[in-house]
Amino acid sequence: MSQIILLSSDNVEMKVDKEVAERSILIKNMLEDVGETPDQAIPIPNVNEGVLRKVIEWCEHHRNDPPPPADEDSDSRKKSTDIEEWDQKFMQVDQEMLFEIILAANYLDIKPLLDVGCKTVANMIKGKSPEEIRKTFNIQNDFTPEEEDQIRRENEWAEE
Amino acid sequence: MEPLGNDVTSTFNALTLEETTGPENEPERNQGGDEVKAAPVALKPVFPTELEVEIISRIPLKYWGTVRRVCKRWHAITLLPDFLYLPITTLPLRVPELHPDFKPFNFKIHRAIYEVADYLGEQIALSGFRKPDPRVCQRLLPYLDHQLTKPPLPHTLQDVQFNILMPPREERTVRPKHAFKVMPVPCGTFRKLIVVPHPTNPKVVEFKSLNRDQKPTGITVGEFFDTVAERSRVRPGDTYEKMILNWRVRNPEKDWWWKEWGIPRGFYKMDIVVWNEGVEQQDVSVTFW
Repeated sequence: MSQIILLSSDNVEMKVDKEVAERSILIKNMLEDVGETPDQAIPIPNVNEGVLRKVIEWCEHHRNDPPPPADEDSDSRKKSTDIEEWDQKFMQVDQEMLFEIILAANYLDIKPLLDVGCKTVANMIKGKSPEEIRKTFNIQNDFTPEEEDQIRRENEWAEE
Repeated sequence: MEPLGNDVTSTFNALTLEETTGPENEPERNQGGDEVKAAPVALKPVFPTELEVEIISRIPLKYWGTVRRVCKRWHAITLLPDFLYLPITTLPLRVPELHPDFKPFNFKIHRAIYEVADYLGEQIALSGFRKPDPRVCQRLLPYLDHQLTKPPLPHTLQDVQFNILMPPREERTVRPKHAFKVMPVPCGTFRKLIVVPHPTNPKVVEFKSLNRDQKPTGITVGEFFDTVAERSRVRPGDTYEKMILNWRVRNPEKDWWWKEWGIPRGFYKMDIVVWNEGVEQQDVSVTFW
């Protein structure tokens, strides 16, 4: 089986089965553009070694998964926060790594991994207060107290 | 205070633009290299807005009250029209009264919209309900997830009516019986409402527009939900067994649709089902009758 070399942002080379690497649509398209298996390492400038290893680990495990439907719309992926057991364990990493994996999945265009990551984060948000969410995501509260109070009142009916 | 979320798309665009052009997160330093603490520095979010959208879309609706209070950007994201719209293929076409997950619910907006359920006919469309004509259903079936019946968003609705079937409740001032509220959803010209008892069914109360003869301007799905929240007089504790939205499909001035199907121009009915919990929709079978 042909292999390719990926080069992380911190200049670490990793040999990967081409089939595994092609779980990334970005890499797949790059390889198609090149036309043949390249001898040189493919630079992945936005992903460091640690994150890239995790992403490759996920791709290895899911190498035989059927590709997501081309017309997969938001609803089918978004309608639940259920995560497969293996993926749940895979995502049991510290928060920084989890966020890095999501950003890498987005950059490398690995939709199923992005989906799992987003679901994991969505599950983290459940039950958190707005302030806790802001801290988690580094978000500034740009509401005035009056606006925040207005939104709280508007949404009271929608909450338990 | 400015109302929030009236123009969702422009608000969202503005917030996204602000994010991309906002100040950097690097702390300012003086010539000695010390950090200058005088000016507040904007935080740089962990994720770009596109990923925030992806994450928020996976949060069950019952947490959205909290999500909306995080910041203006997240508030705007939850009001994006496509978050309030689900394709019909994943949803039942009828209120699944026998479905184990279905029970009387507190009013909550759920992203469960399904459309083109039945053909009513022009004469009875404004007040009556009738089982769908199977011939029309058969004609509509291939279009259920078709671009024709799922127009690009934001989605314009016209001649919208919102119907609520309410069970008894002592606290309610209306008669403690089941009632149907039929309410044209206010849009540009549909703002004056009048309560009209149904001529034959004492359980039915209709909110009719006094401006019916005026040409409707249409509203988007997002505006519709805003309107429902603001104007439907739904309050915490009220329960509703069924809600139905009637709307005119597409622009009735364009006859090509009707000609294509060989049916008369008329109204089609879209049902909005509001669940007491986010339902695992993949477990809900689609039935068409």
